[in-house]
Amino acid sequence: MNHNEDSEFEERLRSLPTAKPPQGLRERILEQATGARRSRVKWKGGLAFALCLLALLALDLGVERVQSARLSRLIGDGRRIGAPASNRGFLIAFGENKTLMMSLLQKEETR
Amino acid sequence: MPTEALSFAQERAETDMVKAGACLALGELYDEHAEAVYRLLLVILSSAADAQDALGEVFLEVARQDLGRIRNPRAYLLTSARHRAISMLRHRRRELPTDPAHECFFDTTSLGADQALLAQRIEAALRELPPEQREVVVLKVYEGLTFAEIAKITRTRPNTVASRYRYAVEKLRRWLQE
Repeated sequence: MNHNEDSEFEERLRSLPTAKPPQGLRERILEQATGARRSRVKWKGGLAFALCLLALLALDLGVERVQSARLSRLIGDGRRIGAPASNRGFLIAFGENKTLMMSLLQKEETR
Repeated sequence: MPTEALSFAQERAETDMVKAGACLALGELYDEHAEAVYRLLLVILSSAADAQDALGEVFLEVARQDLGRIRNPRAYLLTSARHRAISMLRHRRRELPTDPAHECFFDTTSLGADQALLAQRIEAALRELPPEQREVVVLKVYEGLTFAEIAKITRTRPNTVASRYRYAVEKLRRWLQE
């Protein structure tokens, strides 16, 4: 089979018009694509918001833990001491966070 | 208008513009390539309904991508369409329709009686070919791709593509002469 025969055959095939996608299909596809993109944007926004909230919560919890550990260390980590010690640490702890100190002391009393 | 409200309105307008831009780009892509993609789907699937479903899926998948990153949209779309069609063929358990009423590859509405008859015969002959030969015929004849380009789309070697084309054309010619 030679090249001329090939191109002749190809021409013969090409001379026949092939079917085209139906008219309404384009609009339907574009509509669906826009809808899908919008819902994806919404979903991404919701996820970002939830992650931010989670990060804030974790940060808050972390800060509180660090603070209470520090205050607790300042007042002697709940150890009983025989002789009266300097109240300097106590005063610093009170100065830093009065509310947290009160709750720590209350815990100490109820222990 | 307060500054905050203005910036919100601007932001919203920008988002709308991005959406409209993406939609426009997808529309342009569709206008340029849908016919070629549909032709390939039709010749592999031999069913207009399946080809339309697959065409929708192909363009919806493209819409999820960053359109600017697709370097060769035509090759991308044809490759994606082929994958989808082959996957549909694998899942399709039912037999292909052999009724001439289901013929769909050629648009015979504008053809004269002789040409319409020729189109019917060619379509019937095309259906006798295995899908891998049919797709090569369409990609070579209608899309004007080289064997190397077809090989990339079909993930085969150019020699394999060339021999598939040769077998297909020989068979088609023989059937049409009978």
